[in-house]
Amino acid sequence: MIAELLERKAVCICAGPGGVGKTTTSASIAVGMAARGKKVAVLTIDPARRLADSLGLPELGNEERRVEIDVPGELWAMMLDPKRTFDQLIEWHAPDEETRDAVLGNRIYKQLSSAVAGSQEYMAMEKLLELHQEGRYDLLVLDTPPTRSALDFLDTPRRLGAFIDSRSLRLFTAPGRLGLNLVGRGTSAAFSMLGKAAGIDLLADLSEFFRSFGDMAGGFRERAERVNQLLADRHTAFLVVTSPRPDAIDEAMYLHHRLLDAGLPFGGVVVNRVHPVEARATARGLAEVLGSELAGRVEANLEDYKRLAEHERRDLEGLRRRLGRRPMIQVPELEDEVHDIDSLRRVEQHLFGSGGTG
Amino acid sequence: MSVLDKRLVVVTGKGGVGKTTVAAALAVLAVRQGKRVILCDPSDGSRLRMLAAGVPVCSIDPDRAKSEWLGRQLRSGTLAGILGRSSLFQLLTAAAPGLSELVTIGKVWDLARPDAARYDLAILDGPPTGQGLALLTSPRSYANLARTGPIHHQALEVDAFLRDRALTAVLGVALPEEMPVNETVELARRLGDGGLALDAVVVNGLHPERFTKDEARRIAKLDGRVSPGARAALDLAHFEYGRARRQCTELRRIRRSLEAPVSTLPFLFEPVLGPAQIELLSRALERLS
Repeated sequence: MIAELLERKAVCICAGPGGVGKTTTSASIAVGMAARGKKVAVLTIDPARRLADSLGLPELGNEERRVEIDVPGELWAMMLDPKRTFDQLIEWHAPDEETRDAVLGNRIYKQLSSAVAGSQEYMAMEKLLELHQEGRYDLLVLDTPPTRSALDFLDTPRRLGAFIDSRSLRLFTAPGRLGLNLVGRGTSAAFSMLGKAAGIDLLADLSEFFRSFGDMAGGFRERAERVNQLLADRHTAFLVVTSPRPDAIDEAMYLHHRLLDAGLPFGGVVVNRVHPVEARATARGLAEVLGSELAGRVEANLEDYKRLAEHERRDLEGLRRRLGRRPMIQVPELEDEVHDIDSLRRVEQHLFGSGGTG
Repeated sequence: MSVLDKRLVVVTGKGGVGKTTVAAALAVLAVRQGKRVILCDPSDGSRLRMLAAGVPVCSIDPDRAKSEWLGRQLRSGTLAGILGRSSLFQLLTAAAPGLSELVTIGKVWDLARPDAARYDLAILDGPPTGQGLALLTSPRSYANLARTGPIHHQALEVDAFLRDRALTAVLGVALPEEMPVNETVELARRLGDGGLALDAVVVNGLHPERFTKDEARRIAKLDGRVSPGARAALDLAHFEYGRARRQCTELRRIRRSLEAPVSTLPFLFEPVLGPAQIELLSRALERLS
């Protein structure tokens, strides 16, 4: 199922709520497509080192690394360092060394590039675009970073685009003390109050940041537009990854809805860690071979899992109805945690159909 | 749980570990102990309202909190109003690093500080680990950025409140699985680096140890002597044995790796949908305290 879905795609973006196994799914998809002869790179964001965990590698740098695996294609992986990616972008866009150093050394920039929510997502998109333009891979798989609401990353290019929009920047780049004197009278009074409240050097830092950044705004805006084009391209597919927990299903439905609303190419849903119970499962006859006490515990366990499976089945049915003809692929809870290539290949078998319920 | 004796509990942890469930269960437990409790939610608060019936929920919208806070800083509603409508101000606050985090935690602080005296305890259903850390450290970062003025002073005040372990507790939520445990250990380390501390951990979703090693071996050896239906039931029993064992290993590991006390909550074989399950979990937390 996944194989057909991604056959003609150049980019696959895995999105979903936190803790549902996005990284595992991304890595398994990459393994699966590499096993089908593709040259694949899988990208994730640094902090939790989760991809390295999943691939059984000690660590990955800000560059792609080839993963040793016996497949017809090639598997590459990279763990993205958002701060370094941001720095590289500044180096590209800066018109001269002086501007580059002014931006890289600015306190506001340092915070923006490392700590501000949204910049990580934006940098993931940037790297995706960069690798896509270089064209060295058949398929790029992006594991989106964990955010409180799984949708933040969709708004990021737009938000950052508006943030660095040159029209707003002009207010800051105008000559004069703090560059704020072009603003209306009421606002400038308020700003002078704010200056006192906020600490004047914060405004000075901001003003300097925008002044240096102003020259680069055009370049950044153009990149943001290209990122948006890539996300909407017909060779891109968004996969929503979720789990059978009710709140995760709700988020998956909402994300599906938002993707369609935004006109982005929705591919399907992957549901991880499902607990299917065979309909024929029964504890009947076990008392004779195990004794009634142990057989009773086996039965209690079976009843618990039946109850869990029934809840999951009902909740997932609602999601399936929403999706219409789009696929919903279920991956059962596995015996072991997924942290090496072998277990990724077991997940891959479920995802790609041999053993899955697709 | 002793964290309920503080003024503020900040709940954080890896995505999907049950932070909201634990925050709701804690709140219900504190109410039962006679405390006036408020739950704080940086998102819309709808799930907390559904789970913790009867506990007031304050949902914090960063944009609104920003203009409220600014109004107080400038001591003028009119000026704050002008600023709030100014697109330049929008730009400025979007750019001022950490301001969103600062006003969010500032709002929580406002509800929790002893001199406000409206509540005995505020519980923040916080964002995932990384963002949770950003929230806790934002007052200090901001105080360093804005080195003078009232914002600087208030940021320092909030910072001191968060660092006072008699007033604020950081509660980590984890699952007894490898990656959530790693993330919690990492959280403790990074809190320590920032001069903060992890005060308690709740490990959520612990499966019962239903079968011993010998029983699991007997169950596995029955192959061929039972019907396919019974085989499926036995497979599930064996699966559950393996899961409980792996969880037990992870639970030992998190206890070994952390100084903070670690409590557990049982795995429920039904989704946590409402007050009934939260009541159950709050009783489980009570037995531990």
